[in-house]
Amino acid sequence: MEEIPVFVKVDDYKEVLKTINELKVKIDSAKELIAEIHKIKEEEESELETWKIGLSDVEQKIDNLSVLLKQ
Amino acid sequence: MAKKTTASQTEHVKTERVKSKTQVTQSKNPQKTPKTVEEQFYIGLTNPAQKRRILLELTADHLRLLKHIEVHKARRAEKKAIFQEYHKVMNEIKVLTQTIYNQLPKQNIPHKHTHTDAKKQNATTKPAPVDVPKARPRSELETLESELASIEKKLQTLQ
Repeated sequence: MEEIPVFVKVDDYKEVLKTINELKVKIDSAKELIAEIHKIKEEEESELETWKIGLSDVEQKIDNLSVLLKQ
Repeated sequence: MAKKTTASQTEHVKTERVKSKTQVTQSKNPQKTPKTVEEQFYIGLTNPAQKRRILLELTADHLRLLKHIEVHKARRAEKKAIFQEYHKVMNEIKVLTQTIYNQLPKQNIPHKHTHTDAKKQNATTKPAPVDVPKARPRSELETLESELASIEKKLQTLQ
């Protein structure tokens, strides 16, 4: 396809550049938000592991108690 | 009254029969038989301090788990707020992109097909069925899908 040049008014061009800069700022904040979500996700996963360990501790203690009570 | 278990007794749990205490209630009517309280049985627990300690530890563990759940709730609320913020930012990005698209001049794309090709195409293609507008409001997902389809269409014409 033949490339035909497009001419844009200087004001419009400046406006487009300004909008692109705004877009860059927004993309940066979106990146930060994704990083935060990722961090929370990791914290949740570690927390889930802690819950698992805690629950198995509780289970073990209940078993011990049950054994002691049956003695 | 139950007999008290002493330390000298064996470690095994003993079931002791409680002395049956027959309470004779003085009934007003002497002809009625006296009511008796049912015999109660007690089980002696050895090492009560140890058991109490285990129970206290269990309670502490449970409380810790409940505390974790509360922390998790707060974290979920925080996560929700971040998701909402992210959604807002993405919408702003969409608006800005649309603004750029509108700010740039619309270029007429020269069509590759020749006049005859277009005629042939017109002859073969049937008129597209008219879409009946749906009564129910479109969800955000549907709106996004339709926007995406329209952009993909535009991209195909550019290629």
